[in-house]
Amino acid sequence: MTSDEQLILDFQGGSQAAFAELFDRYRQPVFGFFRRRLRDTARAEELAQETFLVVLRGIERYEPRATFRTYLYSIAFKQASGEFRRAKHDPVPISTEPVAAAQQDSCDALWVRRAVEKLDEQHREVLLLREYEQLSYDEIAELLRIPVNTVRSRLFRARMELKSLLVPEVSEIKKVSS
Amino acid sequence: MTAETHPVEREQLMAYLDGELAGNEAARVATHLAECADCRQLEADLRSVSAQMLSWNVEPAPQQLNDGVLAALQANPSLRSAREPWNLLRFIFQHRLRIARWALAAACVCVAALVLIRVFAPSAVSNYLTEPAAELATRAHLNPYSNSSRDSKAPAHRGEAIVGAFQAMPAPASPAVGLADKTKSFSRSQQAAEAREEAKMASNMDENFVLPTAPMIARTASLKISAKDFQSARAGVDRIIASFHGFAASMTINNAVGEPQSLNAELHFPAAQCDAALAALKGLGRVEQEQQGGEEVIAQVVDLDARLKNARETETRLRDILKTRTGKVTDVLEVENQIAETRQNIEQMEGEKKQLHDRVTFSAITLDLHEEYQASLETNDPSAGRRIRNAVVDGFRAAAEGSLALLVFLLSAGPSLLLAAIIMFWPIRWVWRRLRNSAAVPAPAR
Repeated sequence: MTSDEQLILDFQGGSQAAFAELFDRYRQPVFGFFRRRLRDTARAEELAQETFLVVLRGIERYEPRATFRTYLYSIAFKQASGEFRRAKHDPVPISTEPVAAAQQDSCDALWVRRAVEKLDEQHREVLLLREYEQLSYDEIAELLRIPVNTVRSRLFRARMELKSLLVPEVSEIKKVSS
Repeated sequence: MTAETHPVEREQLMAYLDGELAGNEAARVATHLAECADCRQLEADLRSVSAQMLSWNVEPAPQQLNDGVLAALQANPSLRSAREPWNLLRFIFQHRLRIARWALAAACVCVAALVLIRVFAPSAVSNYLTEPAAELATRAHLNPYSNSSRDSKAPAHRGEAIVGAFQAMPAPASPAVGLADKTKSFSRSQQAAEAREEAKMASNMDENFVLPTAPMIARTASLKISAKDFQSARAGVDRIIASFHGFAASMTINNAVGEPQSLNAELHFPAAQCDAALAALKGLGRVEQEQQGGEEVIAQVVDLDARLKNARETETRLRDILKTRTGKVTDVLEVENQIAETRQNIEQMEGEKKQLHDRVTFSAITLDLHEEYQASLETNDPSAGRRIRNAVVDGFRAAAEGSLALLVFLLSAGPSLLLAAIIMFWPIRWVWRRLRNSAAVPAPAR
């Protein structure tokens, strides 16, 4: 299996098939990245598309200084940060979104989602990057521009906090679902 | 769970479970994990959290995402054109309409620029050549003291414009002819009126108003000369001044004991003999520094002449008005005031003109002549007795001044110091007693 870094270099050399392979590998993870952070599916899709377009447009300037995965998620992270900033200035009405999300998610997923949403923002980001994007501690540190020890401590606190949040909500969620 | 009972930190255990520890450390944590029930519980909790989080799945990415990105990939012109040259033609074909629009717009801009240049450039050029010269010259003749914004500009600028007009004249023999010829380069719409105006103004010119045809340079030079024999060099300077018909505008000679003799002078020589005078001055000794310069003053001269002529005409007209017209006493007084003001301006300008003429006629040479340094055994130091006496006087004076200063200080700051002493007396006394008593307490018996 060709590595991501080799594929992106091949794409830089003119191989469209290499990019298609990379897109195939990261299409779902990048969409999931935005989907877990945004409630609007259409917006998540737009941002995922924009992330790949940024890779596409900036391919001539790409330098293999880090793993492609870190590069890709750093772009996605900037897109998400920009979206959050815009949302602060121009908040989107979300009254119907939780209902729609609740209808789509399973009981366990809704349970986890609610608990994750209650986490501190910094802790939540580290936890999401680790659990869902499967980034290493070093990659998370590079992406968030924080020390590795900070990543480790935030991740541990996030997990402990999530554990305490998940336990008492079992009965509540099951009551809601029944 | 403490560090004493658990040599492995909880975050280390988490890192081990995440596969983030190196071999030795991971083996250490694994060994401890096998022995410690608390850590196994933590391991279970962490694995449980991760497992629970996996239940949050998102729906598959929409098909539109694939379509959008892959379409962009196909249409990425920069990549394909860089790597596959034949795709450039395909790109041009695909975007032919857009390219055609841009090309059309660029052509329109080019045509518009050409038209603008053709329409405006000739008049702009002619205005550049003629407008400042003719108009400013005319304005200068009409009203040299006007406070309008144009005339309030620097005189040098106006003078340059006038010089430009004169330089553009084909032949300086007749000012009227020159100015009349100059008007030919005006734009057609302004030509007739401007020509009439210029001819009229030229016909009114004073006979004494002679246009300079040669450059008028006010030359300056400075020389720094070191001479072995100062006295002979000093006499040489006088001889040179006399032989070249010059004069010394200023001269300072330093003959202080213990210092090399020196002479600083500003000499003026006729411009025609400036070079010869300089050469003669250089022969007085070793030239350490030489500097020469020249300032073109023709613009100032022409400007000044024009203003002077108009001021004189104004004065003549005012005198005519005073002779021929009758009116109120206040009007007469006002005219007389204006005549006096005009006369004052005329005299001022005549002075400036003479000064300019002198600067051109006589070149200024700044001379710094000094003697080569020679140590001398002669001294002007006072005798020992005189120095002792001076020391006694200085000491007495210093003691008197010091005493007076102390007295002044006590008188000015004394009340404040006294007040501060009264305020601080009791606290200091209390602290001092406490310290004394504590020192006097005997050591406890064993």
